[in-house]
Amino acid sequence: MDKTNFEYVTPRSILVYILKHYKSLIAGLIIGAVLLVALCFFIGEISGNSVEEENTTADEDLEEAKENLNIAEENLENLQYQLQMQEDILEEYENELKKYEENWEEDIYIQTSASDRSAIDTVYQINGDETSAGQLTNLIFATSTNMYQEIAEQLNDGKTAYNIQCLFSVEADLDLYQIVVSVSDESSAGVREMQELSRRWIEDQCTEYMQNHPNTELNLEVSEGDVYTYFDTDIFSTQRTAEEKKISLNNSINTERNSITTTKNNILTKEKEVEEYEEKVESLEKSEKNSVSLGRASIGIRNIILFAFLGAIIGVVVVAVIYIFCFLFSKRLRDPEDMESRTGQNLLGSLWQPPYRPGKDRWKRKLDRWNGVQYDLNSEEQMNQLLFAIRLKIQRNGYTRVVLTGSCDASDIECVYQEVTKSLPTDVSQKLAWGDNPTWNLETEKKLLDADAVILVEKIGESEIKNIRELRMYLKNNEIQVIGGIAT
Amino acid sequence: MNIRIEPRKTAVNVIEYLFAAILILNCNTIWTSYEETSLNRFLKIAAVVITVLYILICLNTRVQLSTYKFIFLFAVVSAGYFLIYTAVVRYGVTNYLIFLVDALCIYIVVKLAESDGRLTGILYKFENLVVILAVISLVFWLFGSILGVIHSSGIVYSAWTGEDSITEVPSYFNLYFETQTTEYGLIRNTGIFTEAPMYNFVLCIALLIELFARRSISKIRCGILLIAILTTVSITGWCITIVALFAYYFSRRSLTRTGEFLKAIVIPVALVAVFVLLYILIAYRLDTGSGIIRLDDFKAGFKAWTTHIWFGCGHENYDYVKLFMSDFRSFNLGFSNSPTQILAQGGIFLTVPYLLFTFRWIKTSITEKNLPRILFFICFICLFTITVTSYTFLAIFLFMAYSAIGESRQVQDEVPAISYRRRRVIKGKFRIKFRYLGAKYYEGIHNVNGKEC
Repeated sequence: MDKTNFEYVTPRSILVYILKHYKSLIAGLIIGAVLLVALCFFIGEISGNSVEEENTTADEDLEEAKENLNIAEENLENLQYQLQMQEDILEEYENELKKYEENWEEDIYIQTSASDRSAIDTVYQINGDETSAGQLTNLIFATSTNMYQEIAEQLNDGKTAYNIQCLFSVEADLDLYQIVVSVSDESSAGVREMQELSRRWIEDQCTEYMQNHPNTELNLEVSEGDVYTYFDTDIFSTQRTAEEKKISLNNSINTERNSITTTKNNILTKEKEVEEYEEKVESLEKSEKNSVSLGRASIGIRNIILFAFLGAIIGVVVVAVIYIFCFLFSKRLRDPEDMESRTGQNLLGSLWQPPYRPGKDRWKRKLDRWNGVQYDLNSEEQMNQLLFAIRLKIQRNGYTRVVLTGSCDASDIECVYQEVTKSLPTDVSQKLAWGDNPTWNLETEKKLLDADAVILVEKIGESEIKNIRELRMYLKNNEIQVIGGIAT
Repeated sequence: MNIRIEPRKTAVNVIEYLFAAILILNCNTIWTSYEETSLNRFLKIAAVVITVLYILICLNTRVQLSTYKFIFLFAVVSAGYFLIYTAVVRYGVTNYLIFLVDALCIYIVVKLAESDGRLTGILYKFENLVVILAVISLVFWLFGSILGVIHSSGIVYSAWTGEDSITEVPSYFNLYFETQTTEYGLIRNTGIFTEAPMYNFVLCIALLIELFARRSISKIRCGILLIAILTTVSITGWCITIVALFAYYFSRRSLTRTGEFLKAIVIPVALVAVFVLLYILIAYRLDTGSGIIRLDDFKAGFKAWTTHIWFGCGHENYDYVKLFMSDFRSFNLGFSNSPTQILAQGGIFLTVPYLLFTFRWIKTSITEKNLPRILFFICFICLFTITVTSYTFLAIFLFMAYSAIGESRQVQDEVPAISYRRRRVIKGKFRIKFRYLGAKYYEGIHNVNGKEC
């Protein structure tokens, strides 16, 4: 069941619905105004002029001073917020720099020199049967991290295994069973020492392998190159990037510190300004002679009017919002128009009288007329109109059996049935019957078996939109025609 | 010939044109950046006034109750957002309130227009105005900035420089302004806008409307917009145009079998060509200073967001985001992307509504199998990501008015694919068929309006 297809309203109907509750709106207006002014009195937020009879110039001066004070205080608050932000950022920069410097201590690339570096390449050729030579080459290459660890321990000059790793380059050729070890350092002596240690470690690995595999015959051939000097661009680039990053961080920190100093100065200036305004306000307040103190704070006429006005608007808006909510989310029929606009059921007639008091509530009547709805008929006229509509439908369509039913209370349907049959001619009234909601009442279902059509009777303020839709859907599914609806 | 003027219809059209004009003017036009004017504030009030007028015009129009329920819920949620923001963040509260009120106004206009079947009309009106602006700017750019036949009529002072300083901008009768020059000395066509990216954003949206929202495209309108985009010298605009045109031509069903066959052959080649072209353009862009600054904006926005994840650093708090920008770009501290701006300034709190509208757009496009709407979305999101338009009326409007895109195109797709020659031969038959489809389409609108149940 697509319920949205039936529900159509106009903005005017919402507006009329709100305006019809004008008493509530006025109440909201008054309560809002009173509450906001009272709230301001009690909280003491407003500190304006006293109720004055004379001396308006002094009052204006005080107002101005207070406005300046408020602005200064607001600026001060913003500056403090800015300072807090700047301090947070400074802390972040400092933490980053600290973290960076800590990492540098561990990084050999930063500690060493990029120019005039000594280096040596050593080629280890493993000869023997292919399987064992391959295994040994792989083993040495895979466990080279242990070599760095051992060399670091043996050198014992403060370098970590990671630092040693940075100075070494190990490449393995598993097809030729060859390992090429390149090592670099600031001095040729250092290079020689590390090369010697690495050679010893590789030889040890080879010996150990042969001990573990006695049947294998392997031969390690070592060919050393000469020591050469070179300029290491990688080290240079790393050092430069690190230096730039450090400079950038230091610059950021300095900029941030300068900003903080400026902000602090601004805060001091602003604090002085606030103090000056406070003193001025205090002196002006003391000089007020013809003032009447009201509660904890004194309040000026202008502020009373302003806050009363604001409160009135807020009050009206709140009440309007509540009524809009009621209008949009109400589940029951509000007036006969709802039958058509929210359920899609055309009306035969209405026996509902709006709750207008005779001679009063002319506003509501006018609003209804503006909305295109007229409730100008009295009960008798409404009944005649309805009777004529029923007769017309029954006689023109040749219906022999029409059932009055609906989703409202059975007594309401019966009441409408009694009134209608009483006034209709006998030949027409004999064709009418009534029954409770057929969606759950078996008797009515039986009556519907030989019925040609149905008239829906719904009570304003009681019948629920959802139930009416369900009933209409039930009748539609059973292919029973609905002549129209009666709102009561 | 008797011309019958319907007062209500005329009034609605005028209001919709005014609304479309506000959408354009709010996108950083030079008039809003004059030193001495406060057009921005005026525009924000005008949006409210136009909404009230729109409601008054629609006072007697029957609209679905659910539409009002959505508007009511939006208003309540906005009020809740304002209260929470005021309690938690407290930065720029007045601006935030104005932003929420304007968003609500746009939502009301969108919902009422949608119920009345007029939402697509607003998009068309927006496009019409942009085409007029494009023509004016092209004339002045060619004969004024390039050929020097027309001379500048004066100078205006713009505060939009990204450095809080005032710059002198040559003006051509207040209809065209020379605000930017490329590194090769070529004056960029920026129309009435403070910078080329913003003009490009407006032009691209108009082009997307022409390609994906109109029932049939006009070559003249398309040509004008394409030339205008070209003259803005905006790589973003060029990339989006290439993607949009490619998507448009290959998403449309060909009228002949030969056409379909040719398309099947051409698509892979064209796809590769488009990718190569985009790669070259983007690579070139990222190598330039502007590209690097844009990347830095993403970093800065993200870093700023990580410091205030839930509620952000405050609505329009650009000073705070600037603190996270790199030092090398101290000469240009303007922000250039929307997603991280929303994240940094509004946090997850403000990002959620944007995401909700985005997901709704994607979901409805997929469930309705609306290809033009999906393509429009992809191009729009790309534009939104690389242009700072988060709080502009136009971006907010498009997030809300996605349902109007591709509405008419879907109906057109139902027309059977036949060759033009054959269509002429069976003209009468085709007309009947087409009329039938048209009737179906208008019947749909009629039902939506609620005039018939």
